[in-house]
Amino acid sequence: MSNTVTTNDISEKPVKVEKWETDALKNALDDACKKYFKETLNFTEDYKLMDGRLYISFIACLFSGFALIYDWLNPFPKSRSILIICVITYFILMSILTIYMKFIEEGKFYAGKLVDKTGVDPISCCTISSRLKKYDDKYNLTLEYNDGTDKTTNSVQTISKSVGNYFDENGVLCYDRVTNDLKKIYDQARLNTRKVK
Amino acid sequence: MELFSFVDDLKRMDKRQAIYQILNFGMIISTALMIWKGLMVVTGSESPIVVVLSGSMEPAFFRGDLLLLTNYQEEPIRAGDIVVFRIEGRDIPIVHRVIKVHEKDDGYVKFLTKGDNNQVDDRGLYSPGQLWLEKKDVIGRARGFLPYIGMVTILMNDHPQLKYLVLALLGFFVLIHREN
Repeated sequence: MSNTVTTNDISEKPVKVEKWETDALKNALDDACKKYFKETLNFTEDYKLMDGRLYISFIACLFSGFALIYDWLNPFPKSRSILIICVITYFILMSILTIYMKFIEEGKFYAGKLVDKTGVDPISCCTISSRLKKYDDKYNLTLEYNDGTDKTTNSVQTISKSVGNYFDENGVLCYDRVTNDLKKIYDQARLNTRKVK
Repeated sequence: MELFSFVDDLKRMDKRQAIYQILNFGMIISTALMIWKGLMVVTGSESPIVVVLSGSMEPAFFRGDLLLLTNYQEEPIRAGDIVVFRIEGRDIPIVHRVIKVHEKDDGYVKFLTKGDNNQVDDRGLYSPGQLWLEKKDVIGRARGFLPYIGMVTILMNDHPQLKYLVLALLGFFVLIHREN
């Protein structure tokens, strides 16, 4: 992150959201999770999932841009075949994107790796996903922890709590409460991997 | 101030989130564009949806009605068809009815049009020296219609600032609203 004073100011200011907007609440809670994992637990974020989404969207926009320019240079009847190809490809890409977001991303907003500085322990990864239904107050947070020793077994921990636990009446996020719960499920997940072994 | 809380939200957005917001905006525009181009391909017309701009076709069409056009070359143009055409050199499309058709064996067609609500045929509207219209002037034939909806387009064209304002506001809200 950059070292200017203003950036630090924004990240340190308590997060205040419109408390009746479920989107804003979910975003604030997700951001708090990311911040905890990045700053306190020193995980490095793995951007593969998000990048996949960005690439698909970018390619789709490229196709539509190409169709626009080609049609501009060669007015309609001549550009017919190119237009057909571009339109069909665009909608196929849109369906791919929808499938990607629904089945592959599945609400996961953070995937991180913990690299041990001494190099002794294997790399452990953690994937967090969350769900907050519209107009509902129950925030479901799922944490998938993989120890790194056995790539196939993941220990999964979920908490489901009302968002009222984390925000005060003015919509300000209580970061400490979020981190307490996060710490609990993270430690529980780590314990479980040890137990399973 | 409460109203500007989204500015803080913006500053908290990381780089990838910002790129996604821009791409999201691009995708909304692209979807609209691709639907329009798709319609162009399916109907065969370069402007598959037009707005009736004058009252020359009353009582069939009024100013502000929306028309869906098709331009299938295999279907012959017959007297009585409602065609939308463009005079060479002018870019405003005109919606009138075909009243006379001359057809040669090799497929060459020329026809004369007149608005239902006009007293005279369209020869006064054609280019100087032009007495007939040809297939190449036709944008399409009216196949479907939606009343009143085109008034929005007429309003936006009469007041371009309104159009830019609406587009700017829409774009602004799409870029700002963060969704997951």
